[in-house]
Amino acid sequence: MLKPIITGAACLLGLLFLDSACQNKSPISDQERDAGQEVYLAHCISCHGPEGDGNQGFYPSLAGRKIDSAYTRRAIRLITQGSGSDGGMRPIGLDPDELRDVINYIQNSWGNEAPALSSSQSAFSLKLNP
Amino acid sequence: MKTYQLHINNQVYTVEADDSMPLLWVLRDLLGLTGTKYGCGIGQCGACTIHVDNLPIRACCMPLSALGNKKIRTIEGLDGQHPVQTAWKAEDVPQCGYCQAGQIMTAIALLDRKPQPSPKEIFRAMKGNLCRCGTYPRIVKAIQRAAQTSSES
Repeated sequence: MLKPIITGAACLLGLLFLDSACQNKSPISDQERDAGQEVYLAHCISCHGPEGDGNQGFYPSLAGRKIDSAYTRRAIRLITQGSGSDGGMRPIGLDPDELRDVINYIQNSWGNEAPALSSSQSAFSLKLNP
Repeated sequence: MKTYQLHINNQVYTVEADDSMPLLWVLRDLLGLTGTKYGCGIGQCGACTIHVDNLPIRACCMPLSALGNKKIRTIEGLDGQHPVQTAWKAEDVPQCGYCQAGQIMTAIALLDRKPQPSPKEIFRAMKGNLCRCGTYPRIVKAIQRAAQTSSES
């Protein structure tokens, strides 16, 4: 009599655990994170800092941001075209893979979370922002 | 003007300067550490790369007030016998030499993170360091040589 109840409870616990594990899983793999970090170290760290927290009012923080599609579009535009203002961010010459990797790294670090950008989305963005 | 204590190449330096003075100016003009070069002044060429807590940072972009107690290493902090410097000499990398201090500091930071980098990893890490003489093929060879030397020792 008890066996079905115990089995059912075990299944329910298993499902809850699986759900929790899925929720905690980062949208990018460790390998993708590492690839993005390398691009960040080469081009972004001097202004935005190792923890993405910017630089005491001189450069903006990238940490703890609410990431939506508008944020991603703006980030791509800033990287590919710069801010357009004197003393502001300059364009950075990245290939589509580098752009994808660094966007995914920034958008999934320091409290940020966002779905992973694909290679085709990144290449398409570069076509729009040559 | 404020007084700052900076930890550079295992020595403590005291400087009096404005909060927003870039570290590059402090190094070159106030402390006479002229091995770090001024290239573009906007963080785009990598000539002024130094290490801040072992990470490659453009000194022209780093305001003095952001440094705190962080450990700074410049090209003068190397002893001339570092495996990367030895490899640089063996591969006869420099042409005019202006960008080379920054190239070497970026290469050392890469090898600290990735002792055996792939060609793609070398390319990515070094991409922000420009060389108008086009010594890139020799830079890649020197990094590969330094990685090999370090793995054998």
